Amino acid sequence: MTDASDAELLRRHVDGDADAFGELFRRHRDRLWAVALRTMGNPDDAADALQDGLISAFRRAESFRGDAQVTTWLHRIVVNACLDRLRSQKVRAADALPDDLDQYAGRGSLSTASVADPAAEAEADESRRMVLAALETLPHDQRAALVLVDMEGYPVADVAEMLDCAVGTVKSRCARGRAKLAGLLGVLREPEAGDRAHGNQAPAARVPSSEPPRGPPGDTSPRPDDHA
Amino acid sequence: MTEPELTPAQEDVVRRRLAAARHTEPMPDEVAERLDLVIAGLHDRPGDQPTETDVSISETPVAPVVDLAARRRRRLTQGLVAAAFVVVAGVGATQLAQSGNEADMSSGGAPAQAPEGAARDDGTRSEAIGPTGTGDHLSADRLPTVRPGHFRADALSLQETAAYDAALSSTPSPLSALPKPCVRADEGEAAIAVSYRQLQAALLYLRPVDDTRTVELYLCGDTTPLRRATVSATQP
Repeated sequence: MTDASDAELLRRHVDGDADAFGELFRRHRDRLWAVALRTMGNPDDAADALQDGLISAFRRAESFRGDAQVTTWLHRIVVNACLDRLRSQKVRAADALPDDLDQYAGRGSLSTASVADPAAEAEADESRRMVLAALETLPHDQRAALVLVDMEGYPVADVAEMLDCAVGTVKSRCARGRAKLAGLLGVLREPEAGDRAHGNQAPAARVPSSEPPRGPPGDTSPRPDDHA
Repeated sequence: MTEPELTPAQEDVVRRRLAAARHTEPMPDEVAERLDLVIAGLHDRPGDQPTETDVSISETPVAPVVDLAARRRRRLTQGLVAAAFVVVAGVGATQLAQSGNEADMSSGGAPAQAPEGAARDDGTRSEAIGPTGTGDHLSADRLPTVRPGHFRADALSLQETAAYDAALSSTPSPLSALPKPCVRADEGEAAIAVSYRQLQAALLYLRPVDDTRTVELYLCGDTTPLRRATVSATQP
C-alpha cells in the first residue's frame, strides 16, 4: 500500500479499497494542514475546513480526471473549503492574531542560524506574528495565493490549478497581496529591502542615518546577512 | 485602492517574511485523530460512495459515547451530577430552521466547491431537515440534520422542538429506539442526536447564562466540539 502512487491510491479508493483514502490523506495531511492553518488563521477553523475538504475529496474521488497531480487536486479541494468558510465568516470580527501562535509557539526551522539565540528567535517570532496578523487582513483570494506560492512554495502554475484560475491571476493576486503586506509590515519604510533576515520595523537608529527619509536604495545592510 | 509598486528588493523581503511564517509543524494529534475518525465514519456507512443523500448511518453508533460531562466537570470544576439524558430527537424535530436568517450566513450557504452533500443540504433544505416519517427502521436517517451553513439557525430551531423538551426534562421518549446522542448532558443541559454532514453527531445545549446558552456540536467519538454558537435560551 505504501508504495502505491497517489493516483493509484485514489483509484483504489474509488474501487472500494477501505484503506486507500486514509493512506492518501496521511501522506499529505501535514502540508494540507499547513495550508489550511495559514489560510484560515486559527487551528479550529483550519480543522473544520480541512474536514470539509476531506469529506468532499472522499466523495468526489471519482471526479478526479488525472489531468493534474493528486496533491494539486487535494489542495484545490481543501483551499476551496477554506475559502468557503472564510466567505461565510466574513461578517465575524477578525481576531487580532491567529490562535495558533500561542499554541504552537516555539517552532524552529524558521530562523536559519538563530536556534541557539533567544533574542533572534524572539525577533523571528515577532516578525512571524506580524506577518500572520497582516495576512489575515488581505482579501481571501490574495491570502490563499500567497499562502500557496510564497509560504508553501508551490509553482504558480500549480497554484493556478489549485485556485482554478489563470496563471496571470495568481501572479496578480500575489503582487497585490505582497504590496499590501509591504505597507502593513513597514517594508516600504525600511531603508533597503534586501537585508534584515527577520525584518522587524526599522529600529530606532542609534547611528545617524545617512539614508534619505524614505525610499529604497543605499546598500546599508548592517551586517553581512544570510541572504544573497 | 492602488497598491504601491514594490521594488524587487522590497518584494523579496515580503516573500522571505512570508516564507519564514510558514507553518512547519505536523498536524496536531487531536486533529489527525478527528479526521481519521471522520474517514472511518465515511467508510462505516454502507454503500458510501458519492451519493450525497445517503444518510444511512447504521444503527450501531459510529463511535462510543464520549463522556463529555466528565471532561467538563474536570475543566470547570463544577460538581454537577451527570444526568445522562438519553434522549432522541426524531420526529419531534420537524420544523427546523425555516428562517435561516442568522447573521453569519453567507447567502446560499454551501459553496461551489463544498462537499456535494453540503450543497444538497441547501438545495433540499426542508426535505433534509423535515420528518422522514416513512421508515420503521429507526436509524440515523430519522435524525434532524444540522446544516453546516446554518448551524446557529438549526440549533435554535431544534431548541423549540419536543425533542429538546424531552432531552431537557429527561422525559422518556417513545422514540427511545432511535439512535442516542453520543454525548452526555449534565443537569440543566440537553443533548440531542443529530446528523451533521451525514455523520452521526450530537447537539449539546449547555446551561443558560442569563438569556443565552451555548450550543456545541460533537461528532460522535470526538471530545472536541466541532461547532459552537450562542443562541437565545428563551423559547418563544
